[in-house]
Order: sequence, then structure tokens, then C-alpha cells
Amino acid sequence: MRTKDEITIIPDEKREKCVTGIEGLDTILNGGIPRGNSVLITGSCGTGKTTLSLEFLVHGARKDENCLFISVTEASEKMLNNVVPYDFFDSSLIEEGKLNFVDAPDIYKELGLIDKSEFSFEEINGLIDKINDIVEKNDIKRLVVDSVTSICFQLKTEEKIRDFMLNLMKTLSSHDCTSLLVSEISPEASRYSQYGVEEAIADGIIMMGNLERQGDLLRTLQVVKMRGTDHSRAKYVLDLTSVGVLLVPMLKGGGEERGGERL
Amino acid sequence: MIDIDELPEKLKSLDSGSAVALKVDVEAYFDVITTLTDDFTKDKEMQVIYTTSTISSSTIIQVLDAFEIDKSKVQFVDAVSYMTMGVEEHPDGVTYVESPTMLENISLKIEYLLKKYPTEENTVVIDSIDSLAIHNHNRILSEFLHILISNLRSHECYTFIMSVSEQDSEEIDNMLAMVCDDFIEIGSSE
Repeated sequence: MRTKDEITIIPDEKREKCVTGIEGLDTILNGGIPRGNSVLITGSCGTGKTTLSLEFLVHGARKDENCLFISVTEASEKMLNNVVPYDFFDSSLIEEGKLNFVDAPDIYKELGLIDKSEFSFEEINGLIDKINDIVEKNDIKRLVVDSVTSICFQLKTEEKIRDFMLNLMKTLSSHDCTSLLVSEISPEASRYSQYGVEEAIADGIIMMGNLERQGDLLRTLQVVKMRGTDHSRAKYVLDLTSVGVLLVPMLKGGGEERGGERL
Repeated sequence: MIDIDELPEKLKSLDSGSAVALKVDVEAYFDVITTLTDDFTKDKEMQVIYTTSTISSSTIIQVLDAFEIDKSKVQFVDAVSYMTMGVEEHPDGVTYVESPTMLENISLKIEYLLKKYPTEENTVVIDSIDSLAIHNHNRILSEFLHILISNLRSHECYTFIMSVSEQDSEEIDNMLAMVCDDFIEIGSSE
């Protein structure tokens, strides 16, 4: 057991923040995500998880931080063509190696995992080691995995998912790398992650949703948890635009009943 | 009450960041629009974000064209055309909100235009509080105005909230009195 002299406790207000560059989100997070945190970006399809995550990386790259997007569900080239074309995006960020994309199938191929329907503990460790190598070699300070749910799908058991998540977060944190781990859930899900394990381990949870109100479909964002910083827990409405993700507080109308839902 | 002809001079005396309720005689409605989009902004580096939930942006554009008003500094947030199935194309200078009940999205589109087209000064027009009140409860509308105006003040925008005299409501007047710095009642010159 470590003694109290061996443990360095940094007060929340002194922890370095990774400024996301998404203006409204940084305000909600009281300045940004504590550096080295792993945050679950969770929500159903069409809620803006990928767009928000990519914007986080673009702002990082513009601030001269090396950034990496690990695309698991679709080829990164296709994904890039489908996200909102940002006014502040500069393709030289990719050419200069500030903004990097890796497709998970390429990693799987290298590790001989491409046809495996289930990964063993050894193979999971191999995957973590590979991610660690990439992060270390390229001095990656911001990372997105889109989606961690797709990786967990090949881990099958709760034990393996816990092992993978814990080791991944430990590795990233040791490099001061702040990460967004995209998690897919169904619209009617009652928890924040597909397997339940991810949400318990993550340092933070940002929940993105589609809220139907009187027939209108609003995109929403709510920071449910974020270790190491004070933050708002209110629900915000967001818009995905060419100037980036914009957020405004969701109106409550003094708690009036609207569309059968108490706001 | 002031005459429409006095409005340009009255507007000149406003400080930036002012929020003003404009109670307009229906006869003076189009004159107020042209005053806000032309007389007030003339000779200034000023953008007008015109939010309409009363009549479609295409109708207002026709009016501006008829008066030969330069529209290059006017951006529209149109919250009525989708609802009336009146959107066939997306012309330049018009951003649509699907429904006047999506008040947060109106705020988001205004914020978007402020960021997308940064100018020295900005004017935001809400046309009108009466039409928004048709689709929204007063409490949520008050909250919307409070948040919107606070945000626009931080950007030092001029904000004009229009209402039509003929649709007078004490509740709306009280709401405007609470969030606006000034209340101007405008009659027709005829």
C-alpha cells in the first residue's frame, strides 16, 4: 500500500485543464476537461458525438497539441467527409501531423485480430500496448476513440471490458493525454453506456441526446460527471454548425407541462 | 407615442447593448422594418440579424427590394416558413428554424450568425413577440427573452423586440418592461 507521502494530491482548482475550444462546453466545465481525464461521450445516433469529438481534436491541433482519432466504426476518410465542414478547419493540420487518423481495422490487422470475434486478455493487452506505442511515439495529447462500444463488442465479458477500460485510461493518463471515448447507446437506454462498466470507470460522462418536445427534436448535452472540476449539470441545447458546436441553456418555462413532459 | 418619422432620430440616441421594445401600429409595420434595416444601420459597420416568426423572410426580402434597400448587411433567421411548408430553396442570407416553438434554436442561430459574420456592431430584431406568444407559453417566452437579451448585451448588440399595438396584451407588455431598457410606441405618420 502507498503511504500518504507517496501520494500527491492536486486540488481541483490547481489541476491543469485541457481547454476543449468548444466555448459553451468550456464554460459548463469551468475551464475545460482536467488534463489526462478519460471522458465518455455517450448518446444515441445522430446526437453529434462524432462531430463534437472531432472539433475537440481540431482545436487541440490548432493549439499545437498532437491529436489522434481512432476510428472503429467507419473509415476515417468517409467520416471526415460526413462531418460539418468547419470554417476553422485547416487541412495543413493533417499534413503537419498535428491531427492524425488511424482506422482500428488497420491496428487489428497488424495484431492479427482482424477475423477474431472475441479478444482474449492477451490480445486486449496487445491492443492497449499498441495504442500506448502510438500515443507515446507521437506525443499525443488528445485522443478520441469512436467508438469504444464497438471495441467492447469484441470483448464480450464484463471482466474483459473492465480490464480494457481500466488499462486504456491508465495508459492515456500516464501520458497526460485527455481522451474522449465515444459510447453508443439506444435512445431508450436507462444508463449511460452499453455495458454499464464504461460509465463506472470513466473520469467523466457527457451525455448527448435527442429530446422530443411538442414534435420538435432538440439535440441536447448534459455533463453528468467530471472528476477534478466543478461543472454545471444542467441540460443544454446544441447546434452543429460550421463555426463549431454551439450551446444554449435548455428553457424550462418555470416547470410548465409541455407535450406531456415536465421540463 | 412617437410618429414613425421620428424613429430614426430616437434610435440614434440609444447606447450599444440596449434592448428596446418597439410597439408598432400595424400601419407603420413595414416602415419600422425599413428603418431598422436601412436608416439605423446606414453608414455604420453594422449587421442586422432579423428574426421573423410573423411573416416569411421571402416576404420581407420583397419589401426591402421594393424600397431598394441594400440587403447585404441583413441576415434572416426565419422561424415561420418551415412551419407553413414555405421553404423550397435555401437562399443566401436566410437561416431557418423549423418551428417558432424551438426558442433555443432561435438563440443558437443568432449566436451562429454573430460568430459567422463578425462585425463591429450588430442589431438583432425579434419580429415579433406576439407571434412567438401564439406558439409558446408566456413563462417560457419570458425565460427565452431574459437569456437572449442577457447574451446579446454581452455582445453589445442592439436588440429590438417588436410587438403590434393591435394585438395588445398586458402580460406581453409586462414581460417586455421587465427585460427591455426602453419602450417605444410607434404610430403611423398618416
